Amino acid sequence: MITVDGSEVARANLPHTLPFALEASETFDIGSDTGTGVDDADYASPFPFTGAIEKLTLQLGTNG
Amino acid sequence: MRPLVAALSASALTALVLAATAGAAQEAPAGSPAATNPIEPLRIPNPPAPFQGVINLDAASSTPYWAPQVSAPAGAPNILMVIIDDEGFGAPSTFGGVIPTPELDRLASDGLRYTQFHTTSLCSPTRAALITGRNHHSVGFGVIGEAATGYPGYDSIITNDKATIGQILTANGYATSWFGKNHNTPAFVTSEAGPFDQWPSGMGFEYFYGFNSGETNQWQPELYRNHTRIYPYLDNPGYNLITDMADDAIDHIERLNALAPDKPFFVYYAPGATHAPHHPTPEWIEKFKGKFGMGWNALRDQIFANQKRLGVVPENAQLTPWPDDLLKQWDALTADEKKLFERQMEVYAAYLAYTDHEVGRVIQSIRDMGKYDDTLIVYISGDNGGSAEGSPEGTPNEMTFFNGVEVPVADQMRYLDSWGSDRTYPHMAVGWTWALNTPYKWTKQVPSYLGGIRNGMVISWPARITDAGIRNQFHHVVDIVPTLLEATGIAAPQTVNGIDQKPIEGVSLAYTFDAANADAPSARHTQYFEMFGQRAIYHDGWMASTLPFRAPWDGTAPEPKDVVNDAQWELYDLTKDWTQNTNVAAENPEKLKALQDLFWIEAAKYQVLPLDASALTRFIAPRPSIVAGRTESTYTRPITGIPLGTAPSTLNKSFSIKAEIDVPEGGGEGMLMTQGGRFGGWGLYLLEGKPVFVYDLLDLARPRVSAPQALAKASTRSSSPSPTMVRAWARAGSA
Repeated sequence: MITVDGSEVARANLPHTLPFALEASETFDIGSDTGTGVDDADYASPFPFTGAIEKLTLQLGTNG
Repeated sequence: MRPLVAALSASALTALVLAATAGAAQEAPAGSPAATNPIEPLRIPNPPAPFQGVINLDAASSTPYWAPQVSAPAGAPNILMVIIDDEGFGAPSTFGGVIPTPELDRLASDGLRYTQFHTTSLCSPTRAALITGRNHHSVGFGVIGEAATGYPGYDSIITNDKATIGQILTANGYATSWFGKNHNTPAFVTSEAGPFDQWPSGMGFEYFYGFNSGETNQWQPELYRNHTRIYPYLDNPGYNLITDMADDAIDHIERLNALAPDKPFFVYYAPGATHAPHHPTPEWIEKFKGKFGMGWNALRDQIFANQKRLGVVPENAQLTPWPDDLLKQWDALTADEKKLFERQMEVYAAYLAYTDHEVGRVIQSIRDMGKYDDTLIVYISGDNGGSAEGSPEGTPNEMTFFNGVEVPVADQMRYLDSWGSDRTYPHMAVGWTWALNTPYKWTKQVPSYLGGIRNGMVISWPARITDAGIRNQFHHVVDIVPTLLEATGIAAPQTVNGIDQKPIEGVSLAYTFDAANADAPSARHTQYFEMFGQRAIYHDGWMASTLPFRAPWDGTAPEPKDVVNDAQWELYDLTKDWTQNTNVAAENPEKLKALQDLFWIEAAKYQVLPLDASALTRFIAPRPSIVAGRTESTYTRPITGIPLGTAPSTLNKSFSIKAEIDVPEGGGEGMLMTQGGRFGGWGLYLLEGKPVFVYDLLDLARPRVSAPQALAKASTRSSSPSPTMVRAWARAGSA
């Protein structure tokens, strides 16, 4: 689900998340994407964000 | 020497003058700026040398004194230590394989081929033993670092009472460097925030050009120069790390030679090949087109015949049977399967041949500078047996193995032409792996059968090893450090930085360098093996082995209820049965019992306990890191290249991302936050102004959610501009 300024704008089904491992060459990136992209149809890395970041927050939920 | 120099007339031979001058430089007067001296090796670093000049009130009436610069012991050779990743005993031509490794062949024609050299059945454990001369559990690497748990044998921490060969040789006057794979830095300290005490620099290596993980994409690698992440592949079409690291190593060695030709070097050279992803260049793949139509069963017979012809297995050795209960015979495959699997193998073969070629360029640079005869080269062909982590049908994306997924052949066919390119992250089918481990049973991960732990090794050192040949003594990767120390004439330190050192556990195999000792009995009598609770013990020709708890390609198989007592043991007399073909446990119950008892003694001695049979589930066990214990992480600036071992783990859980951003005119574009990439991962980004969240499930499916409208610039929405807040929730199995 995606919300913008608190209002839901899109929702879709995610059958599952990956359980054990992501590619070791890949990293956690904020504001651009090093290494390979998650969807080549959408963009080519590094795909820097053209706006400005005030604050990004990653909140982890429970396992399973 | 000085009188000799003085006596030389102008007509003396130039070569003699040069030699004498070099000798004189070695013997510069004590206290002079040119004075050098080996250190006292038992305590490194040595305490400050006492000042031996004269100090009066002013410099004019005083005598300066320079402490000698550290020099390596006279005659200490250069060292090149090469270790290839995930290569089976029977893969290279040097040990009977059909994949040409001419550089290894050439070394073998100058040196010694070892036929009973052993590793640990997994990557970072073997490497930890290789650089410390201690057993892998003794230095915290019971398993790979990504699966570390909080026990001394498993925490991925090489404690400071077990200094590495890098620390020892650097302190003793070597120029030390490390290229390629590391995998001995705990995954949880690999970010730029350090600490760096167990990065290559902290482990005593003065220069590092490589990657910290267990594997890397060769087209777009995770790459560091020392502590700094670099991206040489950007705007560099055709870039491949296998070639780049050879270039960097050659440049480094040549620079050292130009700057300090008398200073010996120690180069640790560890290519990512031939671990997955198999990423050779298209030119190399082309050379192997159509070479594997014979299939994996016939290939096995061919390799075995070659091995007997070369003498790397004895004439009476038996070829172990094909595991019909686990793997299909080649003739039973469909046409599509054969087509796909042949292609997988062509790419693997290309990857190994390409890598050997690039290693050869490094060796050639040493020849070209005239130092080959005085360079001890250790070339280990495989840090464990060939890998079965591709599943019985192979995979275009090895991350499927690491997440417990198999890709049907029909779905793999669309990667047929791109196999090996940057669109794939591939691994070949297990049938090939089994064939490349000929004549042995099993594969990487299995510590109890020779297919998992026996690797070819060649050592050359023309100045010292004058008769090329074959050596059959039983040795293990822990024996390399003591061998290097004996070769360099450097004693193992008793203290390092004031810390008392634990003894080195390996035994030197340098006695095998002499032709007179070609058939000497093995200096190593006992060696334990353990991985994922599976275990074995070797003692004076006997080997007791537990059957694997699971197939190595099945990382999510149920664990044994009782890892201690559920093991089924077999017994082999390797003196009569080179390949572990005939289990003689029933005929020798007392022998088996004695060996089982010996296993527990060795296990207690080397921190092997507690045994743990879990595999992939151990990857997500909580462990220390800069984000340990944190459920919320905030970032107020762009930051990239955070290794996943040091990032908040989103694996196997729900998560949300809140993005407070200033949207530019027109809606903006670009990545906000992402983990992973083409072969698995997720990203939240703006595309033509619209927020998009994509979860890439191993390049097999990409569920996505996308806002219908572009974001508006905040100032156009309200009188007091505030950041736009985009929020995405990823919750498995729901909306």
